[in-house]
Amino acid sequence: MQRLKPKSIPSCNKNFIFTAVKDDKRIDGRSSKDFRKLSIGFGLDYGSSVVSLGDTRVMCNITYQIAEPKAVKSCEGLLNIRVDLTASMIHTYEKVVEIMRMIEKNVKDSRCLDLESLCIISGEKVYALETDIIVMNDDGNLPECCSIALLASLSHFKRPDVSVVEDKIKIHSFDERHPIPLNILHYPFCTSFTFFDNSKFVCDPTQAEEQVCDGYLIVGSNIYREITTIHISGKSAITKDVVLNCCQLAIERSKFLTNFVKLVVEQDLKKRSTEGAEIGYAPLIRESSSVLCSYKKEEIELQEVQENYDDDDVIIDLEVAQNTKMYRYASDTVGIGEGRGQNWDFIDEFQENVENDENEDMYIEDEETTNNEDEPDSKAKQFSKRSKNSNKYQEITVEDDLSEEEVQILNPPEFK
Amino acid sequence: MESRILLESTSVKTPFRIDGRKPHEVRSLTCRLGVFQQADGSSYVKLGNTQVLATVYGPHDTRGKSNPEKSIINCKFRLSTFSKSTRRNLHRDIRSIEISNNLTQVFDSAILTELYPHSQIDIYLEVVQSDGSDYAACINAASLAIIDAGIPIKDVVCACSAGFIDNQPITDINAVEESSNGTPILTIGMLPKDKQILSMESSGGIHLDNLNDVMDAAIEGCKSVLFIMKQTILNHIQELKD
Amino acid sequence: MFCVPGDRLCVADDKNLGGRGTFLKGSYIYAALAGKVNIIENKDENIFEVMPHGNFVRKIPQVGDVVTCQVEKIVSNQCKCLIKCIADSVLKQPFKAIIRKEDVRATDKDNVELYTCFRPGDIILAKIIGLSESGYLLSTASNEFGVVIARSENGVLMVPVSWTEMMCPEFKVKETRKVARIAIESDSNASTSSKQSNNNF
Repeated sequence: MQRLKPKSIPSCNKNFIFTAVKDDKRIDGRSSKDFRKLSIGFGLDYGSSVVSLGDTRVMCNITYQIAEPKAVKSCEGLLNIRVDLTASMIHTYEKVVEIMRMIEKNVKDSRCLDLESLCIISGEKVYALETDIIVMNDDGNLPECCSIALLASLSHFKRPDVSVVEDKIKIHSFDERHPIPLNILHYPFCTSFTFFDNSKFVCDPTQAEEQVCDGYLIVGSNIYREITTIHISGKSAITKDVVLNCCQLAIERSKFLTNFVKLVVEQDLKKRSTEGAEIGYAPLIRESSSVLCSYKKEEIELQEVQENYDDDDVIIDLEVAQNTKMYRYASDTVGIGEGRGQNWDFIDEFQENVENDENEDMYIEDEETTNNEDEPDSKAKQFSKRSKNSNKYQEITVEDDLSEEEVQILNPPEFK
Repeated sequence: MESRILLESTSVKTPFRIDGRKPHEVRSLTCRLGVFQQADGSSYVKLGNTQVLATVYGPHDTRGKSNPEKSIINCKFRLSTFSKSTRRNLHRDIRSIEISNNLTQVFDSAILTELYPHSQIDIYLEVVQSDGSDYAACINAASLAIIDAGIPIKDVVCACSAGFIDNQPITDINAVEESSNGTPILTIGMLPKDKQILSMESSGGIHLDNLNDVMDAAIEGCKSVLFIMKQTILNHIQELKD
Repeated sequence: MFCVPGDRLCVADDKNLGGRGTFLKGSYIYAALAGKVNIIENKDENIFEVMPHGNFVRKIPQVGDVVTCQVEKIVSNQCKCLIKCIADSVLKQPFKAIIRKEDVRATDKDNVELYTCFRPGDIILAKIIGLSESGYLLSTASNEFGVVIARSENGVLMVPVSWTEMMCPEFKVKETRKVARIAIESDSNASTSSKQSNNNF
């Protein structure tokens, strides 16, 4: 599989980032100690989670198998962690190993999971948890995002109940007996710090900041003020005092994350116990401001709309312009209005009308029916109107009382 | 099996470790420069029972991509199949790749790479016998090999490991202490002049209140290691001049 | 005085400068190599340099260096060579380099036939003018650059006759090469360096 060339950062970008960090400023408006917005979503299965930290998005899935334990530790379960970075094609195998080892050291060596509770028959059968961490988008700070995803999944995961009857293992289904959650002793979260120009550092770096940095420090810590792992590399002048200072910040961040993850998991588990609640990824994809949706629509407030054109052929109704809203979808994408319903069949009608009345304008006709483009009902009325007018399109039987879902199929995607 | 006594107190003040050392004692360190004639630089480090060989080739032509601003450092770490008590034949296992990556980054920061653009420096490390503190011994060996090769470097990079057992910070971990459950271990590789930490790897949980003492133990260990390394280098140069 | 890398040599100011094997950090000059400290005292300034042990200085080819190379193969528009020596120091490992057709001669650049200028196995003196994807870019576009040592098709060492021809002394056969004109004053140096390269050859 061919790898893409990593984007080289122009030196003017690099200088800008360095000078900005000196004044405690960053490109996305954060200060050096601010973290990006964090959101966690859970799938239908227990142990499947998606975490997004700004634009960095990581998914974690946990599945289980029954396997033989290691000879040395015969009464402990197994935990295998795998990190998949193939979606981000610029990373080399070395980077994968770096992140995988970071997370392994953080979670396995610190013994945050009680593996002895995963034992079924000592020395013969234990639960082997397979963890797959898939990086969907890399915008910096992968270790932190991956550790949050892993811990969210581990705290969400439930394994089936097991009973041992005369050397035979009976695994009960989820309906028979309640599944059992894992026993997590503490929550070690990773926090990244990148250093620029000797001892100036920022928390939660973006991809651009990571590429130009002088050095970085990753600290794994939990709320009991234990430092589970430290990884330092790079040429920045990191001394012992700097390390201790960063550890303090990491512990603060860990406290926040522990409470956040516990809260989110609790909310999701509550949802599952209530009837008719929407669980899983499907409702998250529909929501525009959720963890899975790439479009986050924000309305931009317009102050004034002026008539300012010289060309007489262009006919824009000021009222339409004033009612049109502007939306920001991403940092570099803005939309004016939201698009209209398809009006392919309208053209023939227009021809007919033109024959009748040359001065008629197709846009003006639309406005008579709709005042607000966003209302789905008005669009439904539009269609019904057209189908009544044009004889050629009798096969389109669109009814007035359309359900919302059908309207969504006919219109260009609307993000509610 | 887990109840090995790692720290035995005969008196309250000075507990002894499993190999008879005091908590802040570094194992005996022997180094030699210029062990191989065909390499540009080479060294041999013996830290207690851990023995490491390092060779350096370069700066030489790159086959393929070259960096126009600086030299590319390429570091390969290998544990010999016979280095531990059981034979292991994992050629490219995760741990070796991780250590290779860390070593590459350490020396990328320490060597003055801007002096040799469009070239490559190769560092090969082979652990002949492993008895704990492999990573620290490798940093020391590679540092000596680079100095032997005459490649400009900012300072003599030295490294030492430290741990925390029974509320006592200990310096220079051996294999028994490393493999026992629940011993937090940390290795620091640093430039001694500015006390600048180039690489720090830690695993196992260390409480923040103890972290200061453990890091101090490692830094003190680095100082002892540095003293011996400097003596070795000066003796080697003086021998050559004569 | 012997030093190890990282040793502070002196304060960096107008009088004290750092030379080979040292680097400047903050307001001090530090040693970057292990070896003997040499202080070159001029009128207004002292230059501190470190002579590495074995007196062997690591060198890589840089733009502007005069190098000795051996021709590897000839392609239609360029000639591939290996850089064997930089000025007086012999390299352990050769560096790849190319001579483009238009850089062989200073005059009449476009009508050059590479096979009449160089042959695989010739030893050339050239100057580095730049870098390309496939190695250093060399130029022999000057009188003092070109073929220094070549063997005839019979394997006999040839003698230069003119700037375009070399002759085999045994069989009296002339072959075309772009010959280097080595200056007479430094002829003894040139012959010793050619003898040295001859041994490697």
